[in-house]
Amino acid sequence: MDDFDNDYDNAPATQAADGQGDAESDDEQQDWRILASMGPNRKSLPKRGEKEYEPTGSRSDRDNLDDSRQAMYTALNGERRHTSKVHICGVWYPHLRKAKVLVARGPHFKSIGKADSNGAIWLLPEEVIYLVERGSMSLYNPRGDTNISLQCCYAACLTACHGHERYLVYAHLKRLGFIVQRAPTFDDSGEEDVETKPKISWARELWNFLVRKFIRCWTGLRYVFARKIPPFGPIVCGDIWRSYDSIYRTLQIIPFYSHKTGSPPVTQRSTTTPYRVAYNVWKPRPSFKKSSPGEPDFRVVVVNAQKDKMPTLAQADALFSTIPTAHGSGSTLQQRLNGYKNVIVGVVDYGIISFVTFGDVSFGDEHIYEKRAANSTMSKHRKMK
Amino acid sequence: MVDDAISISVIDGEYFVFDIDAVKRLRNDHHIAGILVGTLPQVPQQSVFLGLPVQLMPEEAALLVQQGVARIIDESQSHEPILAIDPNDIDDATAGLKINEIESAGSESQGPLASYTTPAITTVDKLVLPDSSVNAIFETPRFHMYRYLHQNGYFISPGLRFGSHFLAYPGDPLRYHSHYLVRGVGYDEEFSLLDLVGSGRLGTGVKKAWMIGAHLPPDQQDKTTALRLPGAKVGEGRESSDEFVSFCVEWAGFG
Repeated sequence: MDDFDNDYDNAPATQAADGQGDAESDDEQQDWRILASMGPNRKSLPKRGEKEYEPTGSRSDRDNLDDSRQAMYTALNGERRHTSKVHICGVWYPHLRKAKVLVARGPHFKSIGKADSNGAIWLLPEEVIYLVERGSMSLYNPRGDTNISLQCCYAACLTACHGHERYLVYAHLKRLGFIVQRAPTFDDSGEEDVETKPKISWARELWNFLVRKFIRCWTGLRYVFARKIPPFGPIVCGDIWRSYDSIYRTLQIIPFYSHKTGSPPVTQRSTTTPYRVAYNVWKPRPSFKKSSPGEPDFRVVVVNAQKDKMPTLAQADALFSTIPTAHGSGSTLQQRLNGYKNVIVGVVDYGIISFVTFGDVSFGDEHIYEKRAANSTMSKHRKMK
Repeated sequence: MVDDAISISVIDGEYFVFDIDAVKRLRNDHHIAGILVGTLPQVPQQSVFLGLPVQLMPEEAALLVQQGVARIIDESQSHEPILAIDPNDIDDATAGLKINEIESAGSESQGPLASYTTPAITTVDKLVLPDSSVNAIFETPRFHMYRYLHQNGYFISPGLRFGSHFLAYPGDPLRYHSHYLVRGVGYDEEFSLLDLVGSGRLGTGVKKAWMIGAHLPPDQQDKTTALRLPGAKVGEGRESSDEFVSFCVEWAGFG
């Protein structure tokens, strides 16, 4: 997930040199004079400038601040303008919470918009705000008599985006070049679909419950009998032990969560949880097709830092039940931490985003001792050679 | 209500400023920077430099209203006349013709050289919400903390990056590093010592200090003269309910 964090973690080399860089790598404010000095033919991405510890009240201090502010205000005052070569023109229909595209030029539609059976392209509210905000689209009201301003566009579309924090994450990922689409679990109705699929009758449920109980008792008993664990005294005793592996295996008597057997059934599933996959995200690729996007590279959940809490076990289970198991589990620590399933959670605090990864990790399945044993035999072999 | 009050748009419960002049006034005159949350149209494929709108924290909006500097606009209601339409009245053909007219009139040149712009703000009759719409914010520990720092001249931004309520900057964040990771609490609120150690260490690790502060309840204000701090001076025209105590924690690294 390095791509997501670059913006926050990579301190420019110039900053590191003055000794403040490492401390301030997360500070998001930047020197806008750099942006102004780059001109229109920039090749590289803008970098942040240097900052001071505190105002000294000197003239140069004030001048620097005035220059920085002026550069910023000039940039903010820039027009949202596009040429007819890449013209996009749409009409917002409040009752449908979508915009219909009248003119669709330019490259955006490779990954944005959805065509209906009549061939008309429709845009979701977050796609509309994104395109209007970056100056790529002219938006009109349904009567067609007003060119909608950015302010009006927010007023019209933001509620339909299911929260400003979701839009912020969407736009952030789009700016970085990712392909972003709403996941089936984006809103409540999507969750219902997921829920109704495995719907079973109460008789079946009772049967399943009994079977599960039986299996649990049986495995528990079998475990005890098979391992010959005495009811008291040391666990490892009364046998000939030829390897540490078998000793460790015998010691593993505490039941643990395993992704293979799955989690205990979730009894409560709140439909209002923010912990649902909001967006599927793909790395940019020329072969991307909206109609058959394939498995997403990342799944992103969006939560509000002020309003939302850490997920409960039930919420986390419900979330992970909507995510397929990733292919292969690696042996490195990083791969182990990523788990068999993982999801990226974008935490938003009044306009600032932090991304964290939640992984479904079953540590009990990771027999570290086996790997260590394998490694040591390998090294022995090597020595023998 | 002052005529030249700054308009803060509330949309879907969040506070925004879309007008560049208002952004300038907030930053230059009221040391409120807010957070730029929009894509910058000139350089759209990056997130280092962002554009309008500016998002404000509820505490910022509430403080500006309390000071009589700003008013809150219900932007969705204000734009209702532009957007509203009966679904049965939708006539795509007529609307399309009107749009064509606007587009050809709006662009200076025709054909392939034509260009199209989107304005930042709309001039419509604004639906101003009563000042009481922000009343609920005034009683929170966060707001007291925010106001205390703001009175003392700090620039304040959301604290998510360091897991606190706010970051406090001694000057404009454009030029200066932040000094404090700030958390506002209730006066009698208990908090874990682990928070103290964790936040204190984190703050020191990033060359800042952790600040914790609370608003004094009226019955405590006489007893705590020893704790009175510069921001809580009495007898300067401020009400005594402005009294506030705050502490800074640094990791001593002692042994």
